[in-house]
Amino acid sequence: MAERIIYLNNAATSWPKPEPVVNRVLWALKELNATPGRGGTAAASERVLFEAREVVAGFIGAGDSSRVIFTSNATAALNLAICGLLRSGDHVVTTSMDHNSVARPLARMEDTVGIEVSRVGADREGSVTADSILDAVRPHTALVILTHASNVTGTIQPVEEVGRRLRELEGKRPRLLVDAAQSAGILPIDVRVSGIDLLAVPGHKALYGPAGTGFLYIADDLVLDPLLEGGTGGRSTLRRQPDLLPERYESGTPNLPGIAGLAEAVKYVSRTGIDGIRRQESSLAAAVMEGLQDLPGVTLYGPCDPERQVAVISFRVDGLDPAEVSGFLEEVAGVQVRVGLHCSPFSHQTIGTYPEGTVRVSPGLFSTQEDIRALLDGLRQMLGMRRK
Amino acid sequence: MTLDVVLVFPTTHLTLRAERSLREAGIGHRTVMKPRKISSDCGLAIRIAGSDLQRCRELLLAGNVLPAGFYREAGGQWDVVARVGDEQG
Repeated sequence: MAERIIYLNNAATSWPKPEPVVNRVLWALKELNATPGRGGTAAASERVLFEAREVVAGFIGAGDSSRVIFTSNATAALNLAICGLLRSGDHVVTTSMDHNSVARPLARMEDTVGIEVSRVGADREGSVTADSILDAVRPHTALVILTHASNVTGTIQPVEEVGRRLRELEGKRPRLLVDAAQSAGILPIDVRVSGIDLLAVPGHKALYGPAGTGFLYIADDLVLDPLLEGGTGGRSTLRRQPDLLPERYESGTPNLPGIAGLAEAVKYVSRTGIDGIRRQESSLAAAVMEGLQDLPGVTLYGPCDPERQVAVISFRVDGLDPAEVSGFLEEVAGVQVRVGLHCSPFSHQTIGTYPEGTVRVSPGLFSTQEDIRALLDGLRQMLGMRRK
Repeated sequence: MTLDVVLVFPTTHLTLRAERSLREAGIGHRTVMKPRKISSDCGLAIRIAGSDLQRCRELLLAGNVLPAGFYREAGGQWDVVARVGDEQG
C-alpha cells in the first residue's frame, strides 16, 4: 500500500492551499466576530468583504467591485447567471463541452420556462471555433455560454474572439457567459476587454482559495433575477429583494472566513503570476502526456498540446475499467486522480468516452515532476502486472 | 473636532467606498452603525465634521460614490442638510 499521497486532482479542487490562505482563514475565524451588516462590531467584517470584492474585481478587470457577487462555488454562480437572466422564448447557444452546472440549469429552463438551446458540437479534441458559435446565433439569442477550458480534456475555447465578435453584432446582441472553473488563475481574464458579461469562477480550484467560495461577475448594464432572497443586512423594510448591488444577489450570512481566504488566494496568485503558473503546469502536463504516449495500450484525449489546453489530461487504458486504473493508482502508487464522467457527460460523448468516462490527471501549482514520475511508474507497474 | 454630520448611503458597499475615499483624502471621520432615527436599515454610516461637508460632497461626486445623504442632529431629530445623487441615502 502507498505510504504517501500524491495529489493530481487539482481540477476537482486544488490542494494544498498556500500558507497565507490557510493563515487568513484561521485569522478570520478567530478575529471576525460579527456578521457583516448585522450589528455590533460588523464594520471590521464588512471591510474584509469589501476589500475582498475589490481584490477580485481588480484581478478580472472589472471596474465596479459591487458587480462581483460572492457565491458558494462556480455552480452557484452559473445557476444565478443562467436562471437569473433567461426568459421564456429565449435562445441559448452553448457547446457540447458543458459541465452539468451549465447543462442542468439549461435543461430545467427548457422543461419549465421554455427556452431553446443550441449545443454547438466540439471536435474530438473538445474544440469549438468562433465561427461555429457565431453561426448558431439567431435574432432571439439571449445568451452564449462558453466553457473557457474543459474539465475533461483541458481544451481552451476562443473566448476573446467570440466576445469580440458578439460585440460587433448589430442590434440587440446576446450576452456572453464564461464558465471559468478551469481557467481562472491559469489563463488571463479581463472581462471588459474580452466582452464577457457574466463570469463564473470557483474560489477553490486554480485560485487556491477555500472550498465553499466562488463568485459571479455581472456586467454593469445587466440585471438578473436573484436566486436567493432573504436578509440582506440593509433595506429590510422592502417587501422584495433590494435592487442595489451587491446585496440584491447576496442574501444570508456570507462565508466570511472563506471569502477572506479567497482574497488572500487571489493576491497570492497575482504575486506568483499566472503566466509563470501556466508555464509550470504546462511543463507538468507535457511530462504526463509524453509519458502516457509511451505506454502501451494507453489512449490520450483532447488536444495533447500544452499550448491548446490547461493542465487537465484524460486517458484510458485498453481493456481496463477506468475505475480499476484509478483504484490501483491510489491504493498501490498513492496517486490521487479522478475517474468517471467528471460531471460532464456531454464532453465524454463528444470525445468518444461515454459512458465509461476517463481517468483524469490534473497537476497543480504545488505538483512536481517527481509526482508525475510516480504516476507513470504506477501505470507501468499496473501494466506490467497485467501482462503477467 | 466634533463629528456632527452623519453620512448615509443605501448600501454598505457604497459606505465603505466612501470610507476609503475619506481616508485617502485625509478627511477626519468615524464609521458607526446607522442611526435608527435616520433609517430603519441595518448597516454602517460615517460621521464627519460639518466643516468638511462641502469637501466630502465634492469627493463623493468626483468618485461617483452616489447616492448619499448628509444628516445633522437637532433636538433629537436628524435633518437632511445635503444630498448627493437622486435618492435619499
